[in-house]
Amino acid sequence: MSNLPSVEELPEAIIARFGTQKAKTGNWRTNEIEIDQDKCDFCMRCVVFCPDGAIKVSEGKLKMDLDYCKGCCICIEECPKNAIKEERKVELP
Amino acid sequence: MNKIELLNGNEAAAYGAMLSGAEIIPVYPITPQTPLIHKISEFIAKGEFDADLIHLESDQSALAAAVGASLGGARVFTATNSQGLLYMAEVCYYASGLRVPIVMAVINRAVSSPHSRYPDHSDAMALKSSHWIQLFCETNQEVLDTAIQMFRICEDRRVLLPGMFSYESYLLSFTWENVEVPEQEKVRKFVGEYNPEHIILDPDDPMTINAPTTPDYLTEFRYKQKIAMDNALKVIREVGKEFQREFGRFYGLIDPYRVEDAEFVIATMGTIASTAKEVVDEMRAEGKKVGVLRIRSFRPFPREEVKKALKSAEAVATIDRNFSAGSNGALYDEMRSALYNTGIPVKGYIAGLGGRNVSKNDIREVFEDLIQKERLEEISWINLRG
Ligand code: SF4
Ligand code: SF4
Repeated sequence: MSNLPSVEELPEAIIARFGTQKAKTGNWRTNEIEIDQDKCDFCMRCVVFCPDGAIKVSEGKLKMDLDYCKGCCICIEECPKNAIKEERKVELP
Repeated sequence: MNKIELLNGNEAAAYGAMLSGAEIIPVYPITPQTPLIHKISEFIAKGEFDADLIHLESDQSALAAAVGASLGGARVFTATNSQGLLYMAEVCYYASGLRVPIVMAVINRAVSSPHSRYPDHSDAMALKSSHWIQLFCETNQEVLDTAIQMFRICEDRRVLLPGMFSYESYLLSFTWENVEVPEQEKVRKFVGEYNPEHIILDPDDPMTINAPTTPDYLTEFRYKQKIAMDNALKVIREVGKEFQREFGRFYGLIDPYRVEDAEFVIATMGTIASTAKEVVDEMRAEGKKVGVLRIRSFRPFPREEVKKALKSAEAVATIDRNFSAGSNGALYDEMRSALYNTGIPVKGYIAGLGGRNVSKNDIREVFEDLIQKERLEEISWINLRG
């Protein structure tokens, strides 16, 4: 606990003076999410439904931002083309 | 020039909000708070008060809107009581945890069931652990003055907590008294501007508000509320003194009446103190050393001041207009705790529930119990049909 902020160091009511952009949720992930660019027809459903804004569009392609993807698989559920796959990285106990 | 007006408690509270420059007033009507909203609407309709009065669909939504408005940087006022306050309960904790200095009038009314619209402190007492400042008033003048002081106290950088100021339904809310209404300009200067930096919704300076915390954090944030509440003891006193310099009337954490050399003291809150003060004058004329200690600040509870004020007391009685089955009146517990180790016995009385009258004779009997050292350290119910 020693590297956590003390009572004095903490602001009144907020954890930190930044938006959620700096609260990286990528380390919650226990799996890997992969997009098959060949199956994708660019409908943008996954981009809209991802609760963390982790799917970005770059040069006409979808790009996973692994700093934020927490592995919830909502994108897989929403993709009408079955273009997104979950690869389990860590075996759960 | 200050003007004298005939005002009831609700109108006095409305004046307090107007003179202090509240900007957003989210409300939901409930008896006996409704006339307060009428008065504010009237001020706004006449163009005397530049505030947004927002009608919400419930008391809970009203306080939620108040939290939002305060997070946006506005000075916020609202009012409620009894069922309405309990409906707000969840949001009360959000307000104090987010450290938004909302000022709320609580027009103390019994909590149903059975249904009652009469005075009783059990509504405010249910929220005594919600980390809000809680002040209790005795007169309509004090209601107006406390509303003004509350904005200063709550918005003080050392405090930054929301605050409720309470006055009893009917006895104050619907009773007219001569009230001195201070000049708006003077009040605005006294209250100052609210410029929040600690928490504000600002797209140019984003901050994480109400983030889910792991067990690593909540303890420290709670401790910060404790520090803020401790600081409030000092700030309430300071604001009281400064208010006296500007407006000539003083209110502190406690209101001791002929307590200095008193051997037998009644501690109570709100209007019961007025009756008790009259009885004290009568009994003093008979040579009895009695006094009244009115507790104005219940949160923070001023333990040290109470102990100091009662240094010559032989026995103390508390009169609580509230009760918690399985325990005691709230003031009794606080007073016993404050006087622990002083050797001063505290006797508790429950009285005035749901508007039951507390007469001069009732008060006299309490003093007689103390003087005759009868049934000390027990709880008695005044005027209970046994
Ligand atoms: S798994 Fe969840 S967080 Fe990751 S990209 Fe898909 S929707 Fe977003
Ligand atoms: S939802 Fe599927 S098809 Fe649509 S953009 Fe995302 S990956 Fe491509």
